Amino acid sequence: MLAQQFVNGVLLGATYALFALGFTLMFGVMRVINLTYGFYFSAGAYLALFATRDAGLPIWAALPLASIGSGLIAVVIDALLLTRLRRVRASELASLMVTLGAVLALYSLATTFVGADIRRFPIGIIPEAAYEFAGVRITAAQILILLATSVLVGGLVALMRGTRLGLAIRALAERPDAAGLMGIDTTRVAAIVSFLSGVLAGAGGVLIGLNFNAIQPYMGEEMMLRGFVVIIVGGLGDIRGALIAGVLLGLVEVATAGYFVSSLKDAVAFAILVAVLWTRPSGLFGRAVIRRA
Amino acid sequence: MMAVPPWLDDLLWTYQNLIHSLGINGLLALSMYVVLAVGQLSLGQAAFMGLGAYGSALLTLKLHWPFWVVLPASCVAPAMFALAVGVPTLRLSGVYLAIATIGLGEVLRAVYLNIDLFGGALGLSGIPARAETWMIYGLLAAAVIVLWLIGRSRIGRAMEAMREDETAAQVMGVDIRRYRMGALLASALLAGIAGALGAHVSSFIGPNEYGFQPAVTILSFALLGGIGTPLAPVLGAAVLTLLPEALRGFSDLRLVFNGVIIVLAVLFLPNGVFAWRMRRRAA
Amino acid sequence: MTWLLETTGLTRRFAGLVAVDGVDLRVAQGGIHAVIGPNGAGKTTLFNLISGLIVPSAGTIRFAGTDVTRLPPDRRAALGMGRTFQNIRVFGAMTVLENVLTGLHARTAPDLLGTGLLGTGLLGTVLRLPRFRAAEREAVARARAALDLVGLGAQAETRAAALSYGDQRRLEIARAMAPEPRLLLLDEPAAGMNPAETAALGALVRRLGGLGTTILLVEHDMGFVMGISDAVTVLNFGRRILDGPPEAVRQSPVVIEAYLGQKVAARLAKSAP
Repeated sequence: MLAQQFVNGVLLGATYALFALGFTLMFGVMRVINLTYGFYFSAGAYLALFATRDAGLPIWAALPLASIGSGLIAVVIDALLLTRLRRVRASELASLMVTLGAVLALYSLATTFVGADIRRFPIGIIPEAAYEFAGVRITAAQILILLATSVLVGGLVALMRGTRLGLAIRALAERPDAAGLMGIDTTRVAAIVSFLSGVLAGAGGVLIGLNFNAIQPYMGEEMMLRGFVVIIVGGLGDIRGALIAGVLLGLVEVATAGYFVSSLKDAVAFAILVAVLWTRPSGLFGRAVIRRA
Repeated sequence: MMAVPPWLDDLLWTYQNLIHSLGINGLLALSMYVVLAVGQLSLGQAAFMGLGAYGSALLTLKLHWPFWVVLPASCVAPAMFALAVGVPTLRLSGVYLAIATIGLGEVLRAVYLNIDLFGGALGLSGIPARAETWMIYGLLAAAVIVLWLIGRSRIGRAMEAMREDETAAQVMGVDIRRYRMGALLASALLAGIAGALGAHVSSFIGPNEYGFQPAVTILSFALLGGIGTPLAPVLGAAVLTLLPEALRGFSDLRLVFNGVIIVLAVLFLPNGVFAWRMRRRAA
Repeated sequence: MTWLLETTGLTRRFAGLVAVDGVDLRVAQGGIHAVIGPNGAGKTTLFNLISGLIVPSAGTIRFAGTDVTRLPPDRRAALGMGRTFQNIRVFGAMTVLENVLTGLHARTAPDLLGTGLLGTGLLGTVLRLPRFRAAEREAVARARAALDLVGLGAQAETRAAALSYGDQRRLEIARAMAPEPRLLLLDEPAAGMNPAETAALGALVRRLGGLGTTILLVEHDMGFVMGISDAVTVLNFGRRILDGPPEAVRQSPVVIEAYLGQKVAARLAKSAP
C-alpha cells in the first residue's frame, strides 16, 4: 500500500516536475512570469487528442508531435507578446500582465472552438492493462510518463550542461546584459527557450491527459497552481530545485488524498507555497536569487 | 396597445441587474486601482470578492445576522487572507505577490467546489436580496471620494512616487512596505464588500464567479480606464460592463475581448483611456 | 569629538568582488566632505550603503548618534539624511513642486488623529482636518523655498520630465534639501555637466553648505571637489587610502598614482625637480 502510493506519487510528481521545469526555465532566462505557459499544456493535450482521434496516429507518434506543436505555439506567442516589451526593458509586472491578458484570450478562443466539455482519448490508445512489480501496480500510462519525463529531463540537462547552446542559455539567465555583449544572439536564444518550454508544457499536457483521461481547455490554468508551487518551493529559476519540488509535490498530493481528504490537496499545495514564502523565499534549496524589492 | 419589442423587453428585464453590476464592478475596479497605484500587481481581487461573498452569504443564511453587521463582517476573511499572502510577498519583488494571489484564487475555487459548507459546484442559493441600489452606489461614491482625497495629499504623492521609482521614494522617507500592505488591505476590503453586495443582490453565488476569468476581467477594468485618478478605473469598468450588453451577439467573445484589452493597454496605452492626472496637493 | 556620520569597517561584497572593503569614514558636523576616487573605486556602493539601499556584508554605520546599520532607507531619511542620485531619479510624471513635496514626506508630520491608522495620517487626510491643511500649507511653503534656493521657483508647475538635464539635477537637490536634512549625500552632482554648469553647481553646493546642512559628496571631477571641500577622503579598489584637507590630498603621490596609474606617477616623480 505504502509502496504503491509512493510510486503513484513519484510518477505524478514527475509530470509536475516536467511542467514546472519549462516554467522555471522560461523565468530564469527571460525574467518574465509567462502566464501563457499553462495554455501550452492545454494545447499539447488537444493536439495529441486531434492526432490520435482525428488523424488516427498512435500515442508514441502523437506525443512528440503534440509537444513540438506546443513548442512552436510558444515561440509565436512569445514573439508576438514580449518582443516589444523586451526592447523597451519593461517592468516584470508589465510583462506579466500582458501574458495574463493573452492567456485569458487564448483560453476563451480555444473554448469557442473545441467547447468546454471534457474530452477523452480514443479507447485503446494506450493498453488498459496494468503490470505488477513486487506488489506495485503500474499502468501503461504511468510507464509512458516515466519514459517520457526521463527522456525530456535527461535531454534538457544534457543540452544545458554539454552544448554551446546550453552555455548561451545559462549565460543569458545569469547575466543578461553581459550575454548580449559576449555576442550571444539574445532574440534567438529567447526563441529557443520558448520552444523548449513549450515542448515541456505540451508533453506534460499529453501525459496528464492520458493519466487522468480527461482533457478540457482550462486544464492548463488549473495546472498553473502546481507550477507556481513547484517554482516557488524549488526557487524561482532553479532547474534542479524544480525537479525535486515537483516530485515532492506529487508525493504530498498522493499522501493527502490517501491519508487525509482528497478534495483538499490543492489547499495543501497552496499552504506549502505560502509557508515557503514566509520562511524561505529563495526556495527550499535556497539557491535562487531572492528578488527583494 | 403597443407591443414591446422583444429586445426592449429583454433590456428592461436585465436593467436592474445591469445597474447593480455597474456599481459592483466599479468597486472591484477600485480594489484593483489601489494596488496598481502603489506599483504592485495583485490578482487576488476575485478571490477576495469570493471570500466576501461566501462569508457574507453564510452569515446571512446560517447565522441570520442583520445586513448592516454582515457587510462589515464580510471584510474580515479577505483582510486575513490579504495579510497571510501579503506579509511574506510584499518584502520581495512584485512577481511573488502576483503569483501568490493567482494561486489563492485557484485554491479557493477548489475549496468552494469541494467543501459541503460552501455548496460545492451548486454554490449557495436563496440569499435574500438585502443589498439596495443606493447602498452600492453610496459605497462606490464614498470610495471614489476617499481615494480622491487621499490621492491629493502626502499619501497620494508617496503612492505615485512608489509607482514611478521605489528606490527614490524610499530615500524620500516613504515606508514602502507599509504603503504596499495598506494598499493590499484596502484592496481586500473593497473587493470583500463588493462580493458581499453582489451576493445579496443576485440570490445565488457559485465557485466559478470568483475564479481566474473574473480575476483577469477586474484587471482589464483598471488597465482600460487607467489609474491616473480613482474615477478612471470605475469608468473602465463601466465601459467593459456595458459593452457586452451592447454587443450581445458576441457574448462568447467577451473574455477574449477583455484579455486583448489588457494586452493592448499594456503595450500601447499604459495610462489607460481616461488618462487624466490629478494634482497631488491639497493646498 | 562626535561625528555626524561614522562608518566602521564597512564592507560590501558582490559575488566574489569586494566593492567596499573595510572603510572607516568619519564625517564631521558642518562643512563639505568629499569622497573621491577613480571609476570603480566603490564610491556609489559606499553611498548606497550609507543611505540604506544595500545592506553591508560587515561593519557598522552610525548617524547622528544612532546605529543605522540595519535601518531601511526611509528611517534614515526620517533621521535627517537626504541624497541625490548619479543617474537622475526625479519623478517624471509629477510637477516640479510635487517632486519637492514628496521629498518632504518624512517631514510632513502625520496628523495626530491619523497616526494610529497605519501612521500615514489617513483619517486627518480624508477628513481634511485643520492640522492636515496646515501641514500641507507649510509643506508647500517649504517646497517653494527650496525651489527658489536652486533657482527653479519659476518652473514649479512644470512636469519634471520636461526639465533640462541640468535643471533635473537642481530639482533633485531641491527635493533632497527641502526637509533640511542634517546630512545631504550628493552622488556625482557634476556628472554630465558642462564647465559653466559645473561652476554654477559649485556655487550652489557652497551655498547649501552655509545653511547648516553637512554635505557629503562623491565626485569624479577632482577640480570640482578641490574648490569646494573642507575635507577629502580618497577611495581606491574599495579601500580608503587617504584622508585629509584638499591641499594635502592634491599633492599626495598615492592619490596621483590611484588616478593616473603607477607608470605616470613614477614619471611625474622623476621629472619633479
